[in-house]
Parts: sequence; structure tokens; C-alpha cells
Amino acid sequence: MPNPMDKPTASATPAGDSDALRVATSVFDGLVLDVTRALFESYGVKLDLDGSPAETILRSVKLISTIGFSSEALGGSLLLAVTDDLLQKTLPAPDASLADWCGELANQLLGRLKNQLLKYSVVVNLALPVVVSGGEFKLPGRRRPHARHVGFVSEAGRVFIHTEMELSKNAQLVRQPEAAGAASMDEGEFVLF
Amino acid sequence: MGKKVLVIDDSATVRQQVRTALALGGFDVLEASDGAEGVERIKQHGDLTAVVCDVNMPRMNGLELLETVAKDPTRSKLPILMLTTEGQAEMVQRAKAAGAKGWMLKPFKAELLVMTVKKLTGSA
Repeated sequence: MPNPMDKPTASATPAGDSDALRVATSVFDGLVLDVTRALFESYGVKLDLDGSPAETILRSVKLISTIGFSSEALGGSLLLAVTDDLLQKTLPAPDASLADWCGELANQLLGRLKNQLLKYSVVVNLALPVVVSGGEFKLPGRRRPHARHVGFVSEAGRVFIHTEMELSKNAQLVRQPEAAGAASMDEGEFVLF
Repeated sequence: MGKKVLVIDDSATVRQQVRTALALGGFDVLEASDGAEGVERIKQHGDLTAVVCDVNMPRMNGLELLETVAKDPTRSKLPILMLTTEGQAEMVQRAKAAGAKGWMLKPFKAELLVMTVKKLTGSA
């Protein structure tokens, strides 16, 4: 069953572990939605939510990329699946490999997510992307409690994101007005020293 | 022949993207796929005028490369521009302290990258 992620409501301070997890999950899901849309928009593709079952979207995918992330507050993994037509549409170099580009897109997606999490004083370390090609991708029949997924559709193809995020005990995900490690730049910007 | 620039990134797509942009800007471009290979290229090519370097890479990351190059008195002045998805202020500061000349967040605009590299190489 698809579970399109809700927009975050991150301002409340959670009262207990279950509240903290609920708020953190909501914030995290909202950030995943936002950074996914922003990433593809930067390559000229507007994404809309796709309520189709995961199996339907994954049936049209030949490449997936996954990256793990970890921090004191939370850890998990993100899987990005993109249809070949959309990979081709966003490919920044004409003869580049779609598999390599799928991995780089996952890297850029996690980079954006990391930069957003800095605003919550969460500094995640990113692993390197792993790309798998194949057919008939399926999610496990029995979903793990921290697993979430969301699908997107565009004129150029489909995107599927599967995340697993676990919150450490006593950790919270609350936006800080002036987070110490916050990103000093937005995507596309640069600074010279 | 144009000035020689080294591009270090574990994504072949990004290397190709940067190579195309810099070649159109009149540069000769060399490539390396991680920091360790990048250090070797820097040692081999004394005529390099700049380096464009990713941060998150296997074997040796971009910050480690910066710190390695900084210890080599013959190459410590080589202008290095970091091109990455990482925007963490602490990392930017670490790169600056290690001698990087700039930090650019992906995805990048080709004309901006070329302009920046021209500035770093004194070609602007």
C-alpha cells in the first residue's frame, strides 16, 4: 500500500519516545519529498506524487541506487529508483552511463537531505552509493516498521523513493533557529576563499 | 594548448560534465576517479594549473586530498575548487583551512564553473 509522505510539522517538542519518533518521521518524510522535488526540478523535471502501488512503479524500473546514512541522532538508508526515460531526460552529459547517473542522483539527493537536516542540528555521514541494475524489483512482502516509500510521476518518467530511518533513543528532530552546523550555501551556489 | 585542469570525482557522469564545460572554456582536462588517484595525477603533472575535486569519494575523500596536497611544498599553492553536494559549514571551513580556494555545490552551472576556474588560473 502506498504511503505518500505527509508535510512536516516540526515545531512541537515531543513528549516521549513515540512522540519523538512520530514527529521525526513526519519531518524526515517531508524533507525527502521536498529535496526530491527540488533535485529533479533543478534538472528541469516537475514531479507530482504518484499514488500507484510500489510494485507498479518498480515494474518499470531497471536501475536502483541506495545509500546509507548515520549520525548520533538517526540512521538509515535511502533507495532511489528512476525509470530509464527520466534518467535519460536528466542526464547532464550526453554519452554518460545511466547507472552511474542513477548513483550520482542518489548522492545529490542525500546531499540535499543532509543539508536540510543540518537545520535540525543533525549531522549525518553519507555512505557511497551502490547501484543495482535488473528487472522485477520488489520490496519485501513484510515491511519493516521504519520503512516508508513514496512515488512520483512526471512527463518524463517515474521516481520511487524507499527510506528506512531509525531515531536513536532520546533523540528528537526539532528545527533549530540557528543550527550550529547548518549549511552555509544552497545548491548551485559557490564561495571563493 | 589550454591550461591543464584535473577533475576528480567518483561519478563518470560528473567528470564528463565538468570535462565538457572546461574543454569548451579552453582548458585541457585530466581525470581521476578518487582522491588517491587524484594525488597521483597531481604528482605526475607538474603543469597542472587547477583542480576541481569532489568530497565524498572512495579510497581518499576530497578533504583528505586537500590535506595531503597541502603537505607537499611543491604543490601546496595549486588552486583546488571543491565541487560537492556537501554544504556543511564545518566541512567548508576545514577545506578553507587546508588551502582550498573555493567551494561549489552541485548541481553546478557550466558557465559559472568555467568562470570560477578561469579566475583561479588567472585566465579571467
